[in-house]
Amino acid sequence: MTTSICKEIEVPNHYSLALAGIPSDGIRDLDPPKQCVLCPSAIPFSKPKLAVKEGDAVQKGAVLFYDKARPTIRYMAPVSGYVSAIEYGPRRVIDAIRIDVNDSLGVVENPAHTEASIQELDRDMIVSLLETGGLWRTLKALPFRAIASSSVVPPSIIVALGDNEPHSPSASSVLAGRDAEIRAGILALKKLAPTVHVVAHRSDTSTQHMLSDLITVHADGDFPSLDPGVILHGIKQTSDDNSAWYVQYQDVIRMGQLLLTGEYPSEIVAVISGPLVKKPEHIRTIEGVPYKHALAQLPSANARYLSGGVYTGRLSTREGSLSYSEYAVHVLSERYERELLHFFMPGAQKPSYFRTFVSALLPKKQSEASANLNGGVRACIACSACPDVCPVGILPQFLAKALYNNDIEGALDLGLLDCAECGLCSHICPSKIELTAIFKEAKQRLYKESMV
Amino acid sequence: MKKYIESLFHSLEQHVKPGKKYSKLYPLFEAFESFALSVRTVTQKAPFIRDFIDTKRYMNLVILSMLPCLIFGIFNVGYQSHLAAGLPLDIVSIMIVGIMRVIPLLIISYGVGLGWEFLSAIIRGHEVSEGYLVSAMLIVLTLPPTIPLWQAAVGVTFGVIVGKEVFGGSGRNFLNPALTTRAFLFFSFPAQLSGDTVWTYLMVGKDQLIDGYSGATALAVAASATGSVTDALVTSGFTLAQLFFGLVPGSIGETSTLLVLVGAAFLLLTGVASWRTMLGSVIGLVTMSSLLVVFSTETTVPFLSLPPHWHMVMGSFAFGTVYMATDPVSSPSLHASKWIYGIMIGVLTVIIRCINPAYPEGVMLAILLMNVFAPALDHIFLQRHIKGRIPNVI
Ligand code: SF4
Ligand code: SF4
Repeated sequence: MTTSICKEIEVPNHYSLALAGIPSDGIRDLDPPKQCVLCPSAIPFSKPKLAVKEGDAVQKGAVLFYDKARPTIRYMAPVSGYVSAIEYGPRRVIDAIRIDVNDSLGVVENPAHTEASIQELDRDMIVSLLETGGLWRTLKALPFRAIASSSVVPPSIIVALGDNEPHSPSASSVLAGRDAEIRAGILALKKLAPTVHVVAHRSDTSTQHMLSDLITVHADGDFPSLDPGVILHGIKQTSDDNSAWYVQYQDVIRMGQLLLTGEYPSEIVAVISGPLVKKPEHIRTIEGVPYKHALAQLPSANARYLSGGVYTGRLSTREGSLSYSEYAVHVLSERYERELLHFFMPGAQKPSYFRTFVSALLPKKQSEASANLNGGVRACIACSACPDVCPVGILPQFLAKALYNNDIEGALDLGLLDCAECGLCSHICPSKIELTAIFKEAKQRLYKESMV
Repeated sequence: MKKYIESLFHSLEQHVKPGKKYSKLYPLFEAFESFALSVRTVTQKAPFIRDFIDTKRYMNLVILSMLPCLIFGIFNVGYQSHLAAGLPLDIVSIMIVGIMRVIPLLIISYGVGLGWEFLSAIIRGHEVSEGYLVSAMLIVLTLPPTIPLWQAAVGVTFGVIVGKEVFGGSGRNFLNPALTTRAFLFFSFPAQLSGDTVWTYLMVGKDQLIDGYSGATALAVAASATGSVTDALVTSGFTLAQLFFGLVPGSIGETSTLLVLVGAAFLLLTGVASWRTMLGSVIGLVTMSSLLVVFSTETTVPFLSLPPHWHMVMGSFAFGTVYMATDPVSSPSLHASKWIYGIMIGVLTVIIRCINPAYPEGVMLAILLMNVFAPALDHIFLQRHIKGRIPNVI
């Protein structure tokens, strides 16, 4: 019944990377951490302005910093405690704010609502509740993926119930027991835009069952089929749809929590995985949890820490943490045995998009994530493989050439702004060209120009 | 062994690092190091994991796919030479003659070509691209076994510099460097590259050749035939089977259609070459030559009436289609343009072969011509691609 009114979209991705380290299903509750670490410098497009200084006491839900250009975009303290350190990186960017937890300081209380009273609220009130509650930051606007501007009414908001980037929390585990919260969150979103597209993966039957009355789109295919940019590409009718907004579903749950309880919802469900993690699993913990606390044993030097998935995450360090709205950490090895005359070897252990290794003839195995580039950087050899993996029908080799020639018009024609920044083209490029990074940087430049 | 090599490169690296005395030689160092050992480099930008494929692997597979042609070529050079001179046809002495002829050409082709590549990499400060490793092999396989070494060296130099470096190096060239070499030699040294006996490497004087030896290639026979072309071919010793298996005079590695097919199968299985280009070329050749057969009459050139399957096994058609036309850098990039590109190569091959008696080998010119049109084909289909997108501009 419900499927008939749902839009079905198929992502034309012909490559699924079977990455080892799939986290186990159950969620382990972590002890509360003694310290929380937030990383303002990890937030793209923002100039953070501190609202606290070292030594200050902060309550959970109080403002830690805000965006200089748009002060209503606030970032809250996920715990109560004392600001023990503020660390700066190169060019005075704020790398870390450390809060030593102290629960006796109390929490900031916002008005609490019920589903019925949310229904009564108008758009401006929802906006102000999200802004003062510190969750407006979770609303992003396509195509630039910058934080949405509340003065704009977007054509639609996309909520993908899940994320299939290897490895992200499983939607059914995160959503279990969160029925009221996700519904309240979606209700609030419906006040912000004329349409809210609620997307479930076709294989995720438990989520489909749980929220069958809300789901409007079924997506099929491997990563990045649940990326909002990819979904938009699948459902858009005209250019007017391009400026859709999106929110991660865990943030929608947290919006619901904020509205229903009035308290800043700092609890998150995250995944820890990667070849250097002994036991890949789901954990329930607090936003800003340091890796030191989340991982039972912190892998030694030569380890690489990634916040977020292996394709779209951010480079972090051993001292890092799961900062705002980051729901996965991966630990990869950075040390490699070098191989003699590697390209002559049959490569049974080398899974690849290309059929150039013996592995292509063997049954598909899970592969270990590795941070090695696996080759030297070269000029494009025109292998024409990149268009075949792009989920939004871009011809990455032509787009990169247009940008190389500074032909912005041409790049826009070729769909630069449709790029979902998924990383698949860079992943498979034999010449190791940083296609995704080139597109991302070009989009960032355009965003900055469009702001002035 | 590996430890030793690793430490050798490590100590060398100390002299070529940026800021060091020989930093200009870094591309050279990188070329050798990345040849010997897999890289240590780790990703700095998202995505943080990368496929195991690299350009070395890619090129290596193309070279592998040509090895059957090379080995058979070595044999055939010796075989044709012994046959022409009426010498005994024992395999060992045949192979020795072949090796003595082909290996020096390989050394010249790789040595001279890579020398230029290294020089240009150092001047530009670029990495040395692996593309030439393939081109060098292609050049040798397309050369006539009679070519003097110095001509080969001049041809290679021209191919690398004009075919590639003047356009900005690997990846930016629009002509196939191996074909450029071949065409250059064809037009510069017509005395050596056309004419009758040039395609067989002779160790004895002309007067000692066996009776009835002509040394002409199948294409030359077909082009000069009066009366039935197939009869003329068969009388000159070019049966369909012989042409297919390749025991005929011709370029070093191009004669055996069978072994080219083996290479093609390997390239298609590994997905390294475009099946669209290959299939397109075959379709073009079959269609065009069938049309000519239909329209040929008593009064037209007899070559026109040659049926398609003969065209396919003669000259370098198979070799050119499988190894030259599919060179990704000089062919178009879009699926649709690859079809057109392939089909046009097949069509033009037949036209040049049958209608222009001066150049009986049409494939080379057909591919070079289509190399020139490849960017235009891509441009046309790129405009169509753009029209098909919902615009996303600011
Ligand atoms: S990152 Fe590459 S593959 Fe992904 S959407 Fe952008 S162009 Fe396509
Ligand atoms: S995958 Fe890399 S080498 Fe291949 S066409 Fe795309 S950019 Fe060029």
